[in-house]
Amino acid sequence: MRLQSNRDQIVTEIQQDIHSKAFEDFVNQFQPLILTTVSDRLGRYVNKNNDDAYSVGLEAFCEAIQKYDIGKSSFIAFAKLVMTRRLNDFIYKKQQFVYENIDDNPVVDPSMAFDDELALKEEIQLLDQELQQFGIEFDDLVSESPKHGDTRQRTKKIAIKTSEENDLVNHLYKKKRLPVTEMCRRFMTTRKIIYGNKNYIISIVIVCIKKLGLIKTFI
Amino acid sequence: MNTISKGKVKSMMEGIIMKMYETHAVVLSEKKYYRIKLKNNMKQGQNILFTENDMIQSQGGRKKMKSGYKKITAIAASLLVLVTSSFMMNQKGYASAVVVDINPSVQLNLNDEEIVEGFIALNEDANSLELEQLTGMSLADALEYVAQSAVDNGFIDPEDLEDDYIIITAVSEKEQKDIESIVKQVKKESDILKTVNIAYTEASMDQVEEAKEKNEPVGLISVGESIDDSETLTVKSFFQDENAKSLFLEKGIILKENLDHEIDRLQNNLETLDLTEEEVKDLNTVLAYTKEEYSYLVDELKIATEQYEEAIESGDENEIELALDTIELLEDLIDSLSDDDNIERLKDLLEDTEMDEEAIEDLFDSLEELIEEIELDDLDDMDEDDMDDMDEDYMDDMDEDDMDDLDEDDMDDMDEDDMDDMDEDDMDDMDEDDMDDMDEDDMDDMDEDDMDDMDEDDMDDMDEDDMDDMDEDDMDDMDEDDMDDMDDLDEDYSDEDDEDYSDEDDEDYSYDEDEDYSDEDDEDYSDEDDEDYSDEDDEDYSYDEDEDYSDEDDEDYSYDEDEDYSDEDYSEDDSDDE
Repeated sequence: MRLQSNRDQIVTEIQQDIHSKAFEDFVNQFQPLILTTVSDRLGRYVNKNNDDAYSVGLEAFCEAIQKYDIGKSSFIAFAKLVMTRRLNDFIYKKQQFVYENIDDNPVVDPSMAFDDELALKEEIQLLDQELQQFGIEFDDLVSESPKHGDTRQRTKKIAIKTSEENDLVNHLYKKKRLPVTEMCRRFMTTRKIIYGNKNYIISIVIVCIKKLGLIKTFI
Repeated sequence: MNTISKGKVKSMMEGIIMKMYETHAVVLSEKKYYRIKLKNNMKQGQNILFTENDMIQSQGGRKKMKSGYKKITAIAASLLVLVTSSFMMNQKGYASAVVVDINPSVQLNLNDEEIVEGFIALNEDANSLELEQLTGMSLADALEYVAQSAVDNGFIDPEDLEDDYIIITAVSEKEQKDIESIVKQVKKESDILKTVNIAYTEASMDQVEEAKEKNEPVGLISVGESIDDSETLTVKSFFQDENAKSLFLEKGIILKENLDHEIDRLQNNLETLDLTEEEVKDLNTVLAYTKEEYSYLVDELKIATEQYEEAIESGDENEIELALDTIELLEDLIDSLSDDDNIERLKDLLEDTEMDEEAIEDLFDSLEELIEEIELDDLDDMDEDDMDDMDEDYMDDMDEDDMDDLDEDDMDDMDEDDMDDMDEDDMDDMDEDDMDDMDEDDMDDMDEDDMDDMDEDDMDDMDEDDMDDMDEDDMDDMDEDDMDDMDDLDEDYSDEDDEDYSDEDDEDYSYDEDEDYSDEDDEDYSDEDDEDYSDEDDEDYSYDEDEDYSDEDDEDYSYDEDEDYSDEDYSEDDSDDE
């Protein structure tokens, strides 16, 4: 006799109507689970756009909700099982597809699909080069990004303002460090916030002045 | 339910892969950089979805040491202790000889026990020293005596700005390590030798003869071959030349002047420069700090050396190893402190008052950074008790890490700016009064993350004004539309209003007004703080964590075997669908 969790109960309630809001919410809620399962099974990260494997996982998850029988097991275990099976099928089919259609090369222009990714890659490489001038690695930025959402926001504002002032940018490139005192004076802020996050600020300044639009959406 | 969903959604993130390293990759997601595990087919610039499970948690706290750089110094230092081959024929009736070149050059002839048996004045200057007393002295005493006489006779002045060098050259065919270790020992212990740089090298008897002929310091002869011969080499001119110095280091070692003496020397000569009071103050701060650090390290080294000796006595190999490691580390630290760029540059500045303005500006820029670092470092070293003693000014200098050390009492002293640096954990320590000091930005944090989680009771406690306070967008409205309400609350509002605007530059809309909001604040935020933070955290994590998954993993298999949903059932279903 297994203990029925609240979640399992919910599944039995929503499985009747797959078009309900509750169903949709439930699926959204479990996206990370789907993501983890897909990613684990495939051994790679899921792409944000158009990842077939993720759609397979999502479909399997919905199927699991509909077919779930509360007497049998916990829902999550069941859902994972269903998803794994579907993914296995998917992988198998994909392999077959590759072998069987060896002449049948895709007619679609692949450059269309990769355009964005390629452009992004170029931007990242440029940013990497620029950062290295200042002795900064992306890896350093992990520990040196402001932890606090707030500080991050303020730091970003300061960086953007800095990138708009030519003399400050010139100083940055010439001396390879931020004109901290001048920035404090001009933006009415404390040394602490600039000094403590100097590498983070430099990275944003570079993104702004080099007009790395794609990266900018992430900062 | 709501909380769960929130937590779940929060744990899935979208990011772009910035760079792949050997052990991990770095992604940029929502303004932050994360380290994530490596998986197949990762590409730079790839836009991926990932969860908290994929993240690699970095160790907290700041790096105490730039270890890489120090290791290199250590390797470099150990390479320099290379013994140059130099053996002399010993038919002169003494076991070995040591030549001391300051500018007076003296050759000390030693017996087997490193006692001075005789001496030879190698140049005119040496004749002016009273050398007769040297006979019978131990090598250590003799070295100190020669150095002291050179100072007394005005050949060198350890207190002026110029770096003073004494070259000690061992001329011997037997184990020269003995002499080297004596030199090192006496350098550490002698008051006079502490204040100068000692360059130690080794030479052959032939080279001593050659030096006599050329009237040049013997220690420089072997090095000097590769240097321009046109000028007569002197100790002073030789070591002023950086190239020559590095050439020397190929064959010998330099035992540097003690840093604290060097700093004293610099400090005593600061007034010769045309600097503003503030600049002098800055310089003194840095110098005093370096000195303090140095003396701390030296003390530590002393302790470590004692421990090493004790370990040797006890014979515990682990202990010996440990002590040796500590000593090595401390020596490296002292070395790197002595090599400090700022001090070198300051010395240049003091010696060469013609230095251009840009260089000076540059120096002070980096000094300022250093001071900043010193202040931050100091804060990091403080423990909770120290925090209690702090006054408000200090708080301004604290960074986020330091905040974690604060206890509740300290919070009372904090001002608004400081609040910005607090993270959620710190919030838990705050008491109700402190909440009054929180500014809008801080409130937002609580809003966005936690408002949804507030239970209905909390909501009921809040009145409309309060809601306005918490919402950033409503901030302006509050300043304008809600003015009337506020006036009711407190007559002094206008005063505070001024404050608000003055703070606007920093984007802190201050909520200092205890009177205004004390009621609302007390109720609402304290509730929020105590209950909801913890609620949310708990649920989030327990949910995200492996609990769920692991449960199911276990059941997964039993499910396969024992229950009705067997594989066949499934494949049937599949075929139906397709």
